[in-house]
Amino acid sequence: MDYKTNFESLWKIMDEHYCYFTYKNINWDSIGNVYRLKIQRPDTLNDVTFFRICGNMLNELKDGHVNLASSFDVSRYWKWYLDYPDNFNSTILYSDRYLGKSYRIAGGFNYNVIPKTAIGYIYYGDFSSGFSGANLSYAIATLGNCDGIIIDVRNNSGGVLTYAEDIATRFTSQSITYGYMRHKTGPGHDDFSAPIAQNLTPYSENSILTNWVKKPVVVLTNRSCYSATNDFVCIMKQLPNVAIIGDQSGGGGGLPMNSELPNGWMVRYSACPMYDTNMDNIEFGITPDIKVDMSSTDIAKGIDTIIETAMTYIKQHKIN
Amino acid sequence: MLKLRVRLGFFLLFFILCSLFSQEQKNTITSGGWSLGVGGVNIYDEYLSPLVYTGTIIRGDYESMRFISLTNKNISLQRTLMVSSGFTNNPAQTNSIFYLSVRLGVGMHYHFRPVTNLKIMVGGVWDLLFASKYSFNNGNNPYSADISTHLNASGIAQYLLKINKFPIMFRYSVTTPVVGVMFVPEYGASYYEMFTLGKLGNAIHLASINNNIAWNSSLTADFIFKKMILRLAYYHDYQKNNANSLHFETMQNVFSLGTVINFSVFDRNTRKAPASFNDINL
Repeated sequence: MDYKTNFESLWKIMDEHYCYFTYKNINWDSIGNVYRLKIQRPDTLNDVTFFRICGNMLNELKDGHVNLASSFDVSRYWKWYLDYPDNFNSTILYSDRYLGKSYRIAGGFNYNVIPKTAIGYIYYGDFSSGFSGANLSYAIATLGNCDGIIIDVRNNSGGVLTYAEDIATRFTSQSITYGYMRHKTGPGHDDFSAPIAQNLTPYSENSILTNWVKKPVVVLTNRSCYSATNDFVCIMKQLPNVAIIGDQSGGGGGLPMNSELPNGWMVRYSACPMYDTNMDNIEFGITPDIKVDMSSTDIAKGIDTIIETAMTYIKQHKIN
Repeated sequence: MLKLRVRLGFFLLFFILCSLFSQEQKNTITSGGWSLGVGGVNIYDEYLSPLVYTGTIIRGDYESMRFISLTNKNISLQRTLMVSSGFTNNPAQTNSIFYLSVRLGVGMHYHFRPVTNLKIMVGGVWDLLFASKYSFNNGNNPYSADISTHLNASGIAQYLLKINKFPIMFRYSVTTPVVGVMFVPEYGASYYEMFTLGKLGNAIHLASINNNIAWNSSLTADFIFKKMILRLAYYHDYQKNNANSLHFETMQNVFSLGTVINFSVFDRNTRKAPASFNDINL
């Protein structure tokens, strides 16, 4: 297949399926015209240069869920976190001040009681990392005597959406609607279904060990919290005993789907926009309840400013 | 709730068809044919990909036919089962779709015998189709299914040819849907919405000629030896449907080899078929 055919196929797939043209005020026709000019002389192109042109066109959407994948490269847009402070230092996190060396591992969770405190800490760094109900029960039960619990999802760039709900079910005793989602019902930019409620049902209504519904829970976030992690933050923010501390999450509120070009390159795009309970789009992230960045002074001393803020919050809100 | 009703509906249809399938009269002569073959399949499923996938499938077919009663020689009951499965690839061979389809059918035909050795059968078939397609590289739209039930018009032409006294039964059969119900995912609905949130949306459609065209045909030649009947068969199935701004097409071409067995069951096999009994094959 020639470059023009593949270019038009890519443009059309995005035109008919991408969900944020109106929300982001993107003129896709105009973008198509600009990049179409770049492929007018196919004799000057090869697969790599053509791929770069296509990738640059997709990056106009400023969407981390949009990728073009060939056998030699994957195009990506990463400015949703590269343009912001890291707010994460794994060396400090795994130091003896916090997680230490004797932490337990259950599924994808690394957890421990923070030394010299009564505060539980769970680090979950990848929503693609699977876990069982037993993994989660053990982690939470182990920390059951603590005054509060910190769930750190910083630098977690997403994964399986249902894992977000599986974790959140442990922190509510009531069924709640935590957000909505829609999907395209046709090729028009504004052809969307009615909002579909996303509901959270409690894992247990009376278990003390597995259900943290009264003690303070803090979720730590930074700009690298994306996609399923963003959705997790959206869920947890609805719960009364939960505070979000750190930086705004990175976003990625459009559930991605896949398609492909005639030459076999796969394209991923945001297909189903997700909203919070106010029907505000979560594509650009969730604002924390307490905004705090890691200070360079603290980093130099081996202190994680965000964890320290969370510890202070828990001490202030602990149930006597 | 809708998802539950749809599931229950299709399970109910499945069990009704299975029960019709398993019913056997006390006294019957049934012609049963099995065949197994290999062929090609083309899949176009816009929910999964804008490209046509092609590949190889293996396919098994079973068909039985008998008159509805001992004395009747004009109205027959037909039961069919088709199972096919295989892997297909996109034109660039960078992704695969696993394909599995099952079709159950129960039909009735009226038999016309315009000239010696020629039989024309006309009737209807009720079928239930389940075809599953899994795309290996897709994330939240990895799976698509053709689930439908139809009332079909059906026609069969059968001719017994003798070459140097060696009998060969040629048969051409075709069914095409008239009306039915089909499942089609919504244009951009994700796997998560359908299977986790349980929101099928506008996924159940009335299937008629304006949005669903299918042509399931077979050409068979039964070589009738003294102790066995050998069947050579060619199956051509084509299905095309449109709904929710999505377009689907599937085509199978399969060559098969099989056998035909005529069962005679009288008083639970306690006696032979009487000579005057109506042979389904004639």
